[in-house]
Parts: sequence; structure tokens; C-alpha cells
Amino acid sequence: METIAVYWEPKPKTYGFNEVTNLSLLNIEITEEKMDQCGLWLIEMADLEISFHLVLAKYLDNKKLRLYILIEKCFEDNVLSHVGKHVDFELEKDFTITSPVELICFQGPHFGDRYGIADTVLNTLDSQDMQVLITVCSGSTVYIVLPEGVLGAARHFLSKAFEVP
Amino acid sequence: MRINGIKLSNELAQINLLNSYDPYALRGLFFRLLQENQINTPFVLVTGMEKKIQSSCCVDKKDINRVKKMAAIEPSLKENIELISDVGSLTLFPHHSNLKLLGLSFYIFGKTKLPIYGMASSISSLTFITDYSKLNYAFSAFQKHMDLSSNNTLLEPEIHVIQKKF
Repeated sequence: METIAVYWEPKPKTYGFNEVTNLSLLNIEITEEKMDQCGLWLIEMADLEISFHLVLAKYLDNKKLRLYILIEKCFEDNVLSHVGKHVDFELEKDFTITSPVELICFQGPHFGDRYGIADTVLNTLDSQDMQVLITVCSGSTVYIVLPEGVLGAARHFLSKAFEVP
Repeated sequence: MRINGIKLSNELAQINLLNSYDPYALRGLFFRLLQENQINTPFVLVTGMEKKIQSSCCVDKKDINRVKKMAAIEPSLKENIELISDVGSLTLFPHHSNLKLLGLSFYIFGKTKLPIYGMASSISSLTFITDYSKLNYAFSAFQKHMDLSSNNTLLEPEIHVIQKKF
């Protein structure tokens, strides 16, 4: 039996914005052949109790991915020293850190099942010429990674496009 | 490693939007047309840091012909869209913001030679996009490596949500 819920709201509701500053964005290119090694490397990093705010991997080309990990800036030295211990692993060849960066994320009812959410987010920020590093819509959550200093403006414009409690 | 559940999606198609001479305008046009055509994108990744692909998103398989029609009448879109048909998502939860589940997942994908076309975390889950035809194989591989809760709960209730203007 299928249950169908019909839904419409002129301005999408959210459960409120979450904002985090002082973050670092790690960025690693990985090939399909090195995927398992990269996995082991991440498991070792987990043992250092480095937690993340967001992870994503974007398909590049030729069976390559770019993995992004958004962490607290205070973990940056730990990560760098961990990467330094894997000189023969060649991960560091394509490893960069962008820091500091900021995150604004929010959820809304059935966001993952509704058209137009991504368009509203992108259109809101693009129309203000805001520099955005990453936008992710995954499940019911929207994540926006921004350069330092623009989070307040992003919140201002997003709160005009989305209903905030 | 103990997890509470794995969820497999219906058949999807991944659309990669390539970089063009005006990537912002192209992206704006693409997502606006998706919105106007009432096409949902349950998974979207946008980054401005890669040379070839600027954005990726997934749509339900039933919507792919509408996306193709939409692109066919817009030359800039037609030239800058790359389609990976027959993909599906595998969602694991919860991740507890810990890199261990991500690492183990990459290890399993690497060892089983399963492709990853995209991946992102959500508030409590990790979603991987891979070949739809290999989802059950992926599920078996994850079952072997992970201690899956005996009642493998679904991530969300099986309610189909439709947006409509009244």
C-alpha cells in the first residue's frame, strides 16, 4: 500500500539555521585504485577523534573523485601531521586545506522529496553574487560552505527566501 | 562496526553539469528549469573548484525523459550535460560525525571495485551513488563488514510526498 502526502507552501519552511564558523575544508583527489587505501587512512584519522561537519565526494573524470571533509579548524594540525606520515601514499600530492571557512545548514519538512529547494538556495545566493564554496542537498538537509566573513549576509538573504521559526 | 541501517533507493539518473564559459548562468538556468518542470533532485552537489564538472544531481528515473526534453530546447544545456543513467543510492546511518564509517565505506567500495559517482553526508547518514544494478551486491558487501542492527530500520517512513499548488 502506498501512502501519498500532498504538500504545498509558497515559502519553504525550515526548522531554523545552524551556523558554524572557524572551520577548515580538506580537499583530496582520490583514484578508484586508491579507494581502499584512502578508506584505511580515514579510519586512522577517526582514531585521532577528528569529527566532521560535512563530507562529500564529487565525481571528477577518469574514475577519480574529489573528497571534501569539513572539520573544526582546531583539528587542522592533527590532520596535517597525519598526512605527513603518509609520504609514500601520495595522497598529499592532491591534498589542500581551505581555511577558515564557515557553514550554514538547515533542514525543512520533506526537503529531500520536494522540487525547487536547490533552485531557491542557489538563486538566492547567486542573485547576490555571493561566493559559495560548496552547496549540498542531501536527505532533508541543505549545507552551504562559505568563505570567512559572509555567513551573516548569507543568513540574511536565505531568511528572506525560506521561512525561519 | 555497528550501524543501525542501510537504505537502498529506487532507480535514479545522475546529471553532471559541465563547466562552461558562464557556469553560474548555466547552473541557474538548469536548476530553474528543474523547478519549473517540478522535477525533484534528492541529491545535489555543487562546488566551484573542479575543472570539468561544476554540479551533480540525481533525479528519479521516471523524470529523465523530461530532463532530456528540457535540455534539448536549450542549446547551452544540451552541450554541457553529462548523464549517468541507471544509478542508485546506498544510505548508511548513523555516522555520528565520525570518519570511521566513511573510511570503512571507502574501503568496501575500493575492495569490491564498486564505482562511486557521488557521496554526501546528511544530518545522520552517508549516501553513496553507485550503479543501480550493483546495489544489492553493495548491500551484501556492507553486511559482511558491518554489524547491522537486526531490525535494520528504514531511514524514513515510506511516504511519497508530492508538492502541488491548490
